Amino acid sequence: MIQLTKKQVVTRLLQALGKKIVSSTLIREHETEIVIEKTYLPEVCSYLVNEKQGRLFTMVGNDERQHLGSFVLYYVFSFDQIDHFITVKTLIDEADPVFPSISVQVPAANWYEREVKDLLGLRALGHPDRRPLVLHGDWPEDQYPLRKDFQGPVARQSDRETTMQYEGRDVTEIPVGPIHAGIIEPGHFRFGAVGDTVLHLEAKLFYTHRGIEKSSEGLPLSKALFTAERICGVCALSHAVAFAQAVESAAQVTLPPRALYLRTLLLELERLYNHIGDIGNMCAGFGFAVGISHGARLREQLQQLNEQLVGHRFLRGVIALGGLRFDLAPAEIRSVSDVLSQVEADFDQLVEIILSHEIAMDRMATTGVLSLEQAVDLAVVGVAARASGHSVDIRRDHPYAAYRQVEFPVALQTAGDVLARFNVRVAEVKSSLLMIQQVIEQLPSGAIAVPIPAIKPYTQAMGWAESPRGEVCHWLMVGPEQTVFRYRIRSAAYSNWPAVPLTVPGNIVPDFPLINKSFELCYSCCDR
Amino acid sequence: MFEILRKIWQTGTVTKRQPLAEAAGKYRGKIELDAAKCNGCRDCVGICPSGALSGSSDRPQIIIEHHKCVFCGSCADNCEQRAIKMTNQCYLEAKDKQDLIARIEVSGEKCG
Ligand code: SF4
Ligand code: SF4
Repeated sequence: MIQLTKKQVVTRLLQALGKKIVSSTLIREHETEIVIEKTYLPEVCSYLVNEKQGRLFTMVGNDERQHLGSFVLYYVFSFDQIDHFITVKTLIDEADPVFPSISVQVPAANWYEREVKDLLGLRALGHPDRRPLVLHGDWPEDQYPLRKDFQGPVARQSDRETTMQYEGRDVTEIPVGPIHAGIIEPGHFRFGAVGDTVLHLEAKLFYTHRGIEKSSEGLPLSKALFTAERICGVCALSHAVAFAQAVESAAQVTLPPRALYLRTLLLELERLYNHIGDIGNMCAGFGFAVGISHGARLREQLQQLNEQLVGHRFLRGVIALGGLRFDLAPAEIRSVSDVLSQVEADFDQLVEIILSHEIAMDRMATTGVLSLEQAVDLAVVGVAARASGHSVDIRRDHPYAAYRQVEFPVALQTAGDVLARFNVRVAEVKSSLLMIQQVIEQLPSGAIAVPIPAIKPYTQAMGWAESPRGEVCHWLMVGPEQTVFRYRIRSAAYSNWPAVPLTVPGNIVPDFPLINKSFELCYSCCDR
Repeated sequence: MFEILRKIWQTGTVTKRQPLAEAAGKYRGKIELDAAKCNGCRDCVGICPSGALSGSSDRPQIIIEHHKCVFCGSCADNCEQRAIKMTNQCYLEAKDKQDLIARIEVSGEKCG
């Protein structure tokens, strides 16, 4: 009955597109796929985003020449209100590998379209920025690593990369990176500053591109899980859960309740150690050593708890396809409560110290503002979105694990500045603690895993999770014999990085580290 | 200001000296292979996601390249002979990579 109404809702939503849709199928309870001709792409996508408030969730280019005879593009839009995804699928002929760009109407598609050109050689016509994104300028223009017939390695050529040229003589160019003084990962930032004030910032990333999507092609699903776990250093569990969910969704299995609850517990533990560590690290942006140390100390306590629970400080190696690899004993669950109550008391004090510190407040408030409009246009996710008043939380909007069973408030702020992001983290730490408490109270007993049956080749599925930095989305197409055919990883950092340079102009140069810290984005899971 | 100093005073020193006490019991550290129990079936080689385990085709030998291991524990979970186990040793540093490669002659006959 519910399904029927949902189908009606979706039909109504798509009504205005009428004949532009070649076919429309409900491929899963939460996902409708529509096939369109590529010429209609801008119109259809712009309609879904700008008129129907869809949100670009991910975009995947796929080389399906072997079994379908052409390249395929999938634009996935999330409709949060009705807990549904609409995938726009379009075929691109090998002889004519171009398609109309949607980036002008849907700015969030900017990076995706540049990436699909770099990796698959499908060019978005009318895209305002034709520079390479993922592969830097020293990569030859006619080598596309994600094509199935790609033969590596390639000889690099001289760099054809360009950066913004400033004409006024008053603008000072400040290049920073890609190697930084701290321990952060590589990224090149180029400031155009007038005096102390930043006029323009350009960020060049993808120095840590490891080709994970390519190297996981052909891997057995069970082994690919371990790759998924290593996409990101700190959101390891979210990535593992998202990948496992994609496989489980493709295999159409239902997990035992205990596995779902334990996943929720562990996911929230991951959020806790990250958020508390990040709150401490943000103090580094204004040189407040006490905050940094205490943040690190609490994070260490939480990581030692992780180590006791699953044997790994970053919660790796606990997720299995179809559930968990091992169970948690009652005594271990009790130790979670104990440690968390200690940490909570200390954490409250820490927050109070930071928020009552005049310099901290002065540096954080009104710094690095991301407006709601920018956040919506760029489909920003996670803490950054919620701090700008964009209410997206995939735990609430498309519940997975046991998030349907626990109650939690979605932390929302409207200022969009560093302080707002700080406050969102504080509120989320509180709600994570609340959720863990509920999970412990409700934790059912029973099995912790189910076997994964054979999956039909070329089944596509998605998995998602709200990592501490925002939602991650894994798009998977299973190949013959339970291997990975195409794996598209869209991490929170990938959605949020394009927003960072927008928040810097108007601030002074020394504010950049603070702004950057408040977003707390990874480089490697963006670069993959 | 006073609050901050009080907090620092209360916390005391939290840095510990190396080497620390043992890692947690569940911690998955360096793997250990019991050559006497192993029958050379090479299930562990097939299951290892990082290629840390291999066998040479001409003799009953398992090669463990500890620097490639990601400590997932799959080999230990899947060995029917219970010949591999995860220890909680976490200090694996070595000056020479060769020191991290162990070639273990196993008694099994199934290899080759
Ligand atoms: S360690 Fe176990 S799985 Fe590996 S070869 Fe020996 S018996 Fe087989
Ligand atoms: S623990 Fe995992 S990575 Fe290490 S040898 Fe065993 S299977 Fe391979």
